[in-house]
Amino acid sequence: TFPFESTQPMFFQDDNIQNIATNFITNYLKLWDSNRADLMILYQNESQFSMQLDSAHPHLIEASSTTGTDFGYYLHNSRNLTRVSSIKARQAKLATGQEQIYKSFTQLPKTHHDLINKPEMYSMESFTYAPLNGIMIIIHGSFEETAQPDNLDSLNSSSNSGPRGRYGGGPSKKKVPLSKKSFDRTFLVIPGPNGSMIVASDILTIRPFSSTTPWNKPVQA
Amino acid sequence: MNQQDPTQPIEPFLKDLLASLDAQYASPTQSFPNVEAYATQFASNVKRDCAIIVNGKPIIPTPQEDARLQFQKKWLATPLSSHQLTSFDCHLIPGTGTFIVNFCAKVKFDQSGRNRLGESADLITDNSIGRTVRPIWGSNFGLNVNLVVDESVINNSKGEIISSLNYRFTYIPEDTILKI
Repeated sequence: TFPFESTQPMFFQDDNIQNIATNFITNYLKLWDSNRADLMILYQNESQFSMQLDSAHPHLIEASSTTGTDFGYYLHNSRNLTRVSSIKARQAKLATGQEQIYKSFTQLPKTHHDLINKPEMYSMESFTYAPLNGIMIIIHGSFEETAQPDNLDSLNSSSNSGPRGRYGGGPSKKKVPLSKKSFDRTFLVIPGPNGSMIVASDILTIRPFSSTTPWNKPVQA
Repeated sequence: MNQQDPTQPIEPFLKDLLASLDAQYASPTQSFPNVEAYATQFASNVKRDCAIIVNGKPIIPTPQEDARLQFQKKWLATPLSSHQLTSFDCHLIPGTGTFIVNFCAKVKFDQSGRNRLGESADLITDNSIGRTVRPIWGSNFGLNVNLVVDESVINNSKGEIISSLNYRFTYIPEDTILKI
């Protein structure tokens, strides 16, 4: 047996943090799915965002799935630092400030997070971050990809990253199949002027979709 | 901008942290003089007053036992583990002297029925098979961990530098015999 207390989907340090964190995540994901430009007021010059891909993450392999998940839209920007060794590349995959962060956002597929209908697919933790009087908000869950990214420039220009070479010139016709993905996302949110909130740090982890999660299963006998 | 990559020392630091969780009480390469020495090396980078959350459940310090000690006692009672780091990313937060680290790992547990000290709860055992002490690894669990780590990790990753530890299973294999 695992001697820690049994899994619980949500952890909040106190009621105040629970209010802030749940409001934040609900509104954030709503805008993330509809209009990411509206999120940019949350980011400032020193804010940081990066995305990492963990294609090796354990997941339930569905009988219906015939092929592995295609991570084509994520691979070129992935800051999985176990797999990126050059200093230049490690720094290039970190977006700092509104402009770079927005560009990163437009390079990710459009999504739908079904937080309203399937809250059991999500789990969260939130607690204080002392140095900046901020809070950490961590969410685990999954989403559906609904459309390809707005900005495909960097995908198409990374001509030597794919197994099949591009053939230079003109828009690429590369189509990556859309699918469900699971994810973990860590926000560091700090208080801004006039009661506003600032996202100081935002780390997104993308991994293969799993329809079961440890927190939505009944406790097994 | 500085030429140094501050994220470089994070990977060995994470691997050391996971190795401390996976350490065996007695193995050909390493053995501990007593249980206390063994237990207190688990995640010894964690501060005594670290905020520790395991699968959404916080560890509440008491006047007698700080959070780290409670974590170590509980970890001592888990079966032997084997973590494998599969990805990580981190941000150095300006003006705070801290990194926020997020990493993913696979972890499997020994299903032989023995605890970390090599003891089994079976009163009558059939030892005719021979005294194999090799672990019988189960399937991989998925794991996502968030850390807040002091910037001093760049120069020295040995001290008490972790001020929050949030350990969350993202996937539990169906064939595991562990009750989580």
